[in-house]
Amino acid sequence: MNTAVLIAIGFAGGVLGGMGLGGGTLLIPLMTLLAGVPQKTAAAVNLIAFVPMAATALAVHAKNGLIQKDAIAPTAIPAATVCALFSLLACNSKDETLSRAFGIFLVVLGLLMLAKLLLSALAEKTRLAMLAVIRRDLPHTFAQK
Amino acid sequence: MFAHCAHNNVMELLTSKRKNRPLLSAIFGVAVGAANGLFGGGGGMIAVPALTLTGVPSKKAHATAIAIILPLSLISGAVYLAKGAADPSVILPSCAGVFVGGIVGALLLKKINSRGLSLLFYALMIAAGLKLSL
Repeated sequence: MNTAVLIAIGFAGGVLGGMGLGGGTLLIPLMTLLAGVPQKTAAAVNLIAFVPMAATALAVHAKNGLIQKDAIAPTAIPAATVCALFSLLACNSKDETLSRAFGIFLVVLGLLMLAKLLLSALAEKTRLAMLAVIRRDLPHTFAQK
Repeated sequence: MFAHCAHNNVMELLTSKRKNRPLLSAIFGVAVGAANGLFGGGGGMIAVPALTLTGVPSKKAHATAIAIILPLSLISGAVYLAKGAADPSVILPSCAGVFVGGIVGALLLKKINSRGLSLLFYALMIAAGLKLSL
């Protein structure tokens, strides 16, 4: 496999990840589709590359008081247990099967995220329209400013 | 100001009274762990909405999700490497690219229209998913 292509794909995935868009969800299919990397190897790249970036981001967030500590354990404990079992399962499965399942996962997740984005855009439009009505009909509310 | 808030805060508005739901956290935890273990990614995209649904504010949810995904990636990364998905000729250049890209992405973050970019990102996700699954 072409080293330059791999660096370029890694760079693209890294930019998206650094922007907080969930880089792995595109890094993995870019590697498998464009560079012919087996699914498990692409998964390993995403997991390994994530660790130093996440550790750096976490240190900054912790310093800014953005980590809600009591929310970690209730999700992380079941997640870690299932994660260990499923990574063993993945390593005993065929790359083609995993890749196809990952494709379905991406479509479902992408549609859900798209729906959420459109919903929030709609909510914003509604809120602005309501504010405009309030400003027009109740001008004294804003008169003090 | 309103335009800025609405994008991330709609989930909070919808769910602001639902806090501390351990069963919901556990169910989402299973989904996050399954995605991270089985596919090696995508857990974070489940963890963020999972946290906002249990009452964590949006900005904190993004940060706290990293605290949840980091130990998972250590576990699954170790399993993948130990079980033979470790081809150094692929892993080393790709990881180097990701690392440099990650720094560039973090620096670019403040200069870009996030909603348009998210839209493009999700469209690409769906397209890649269709290509992989069909």
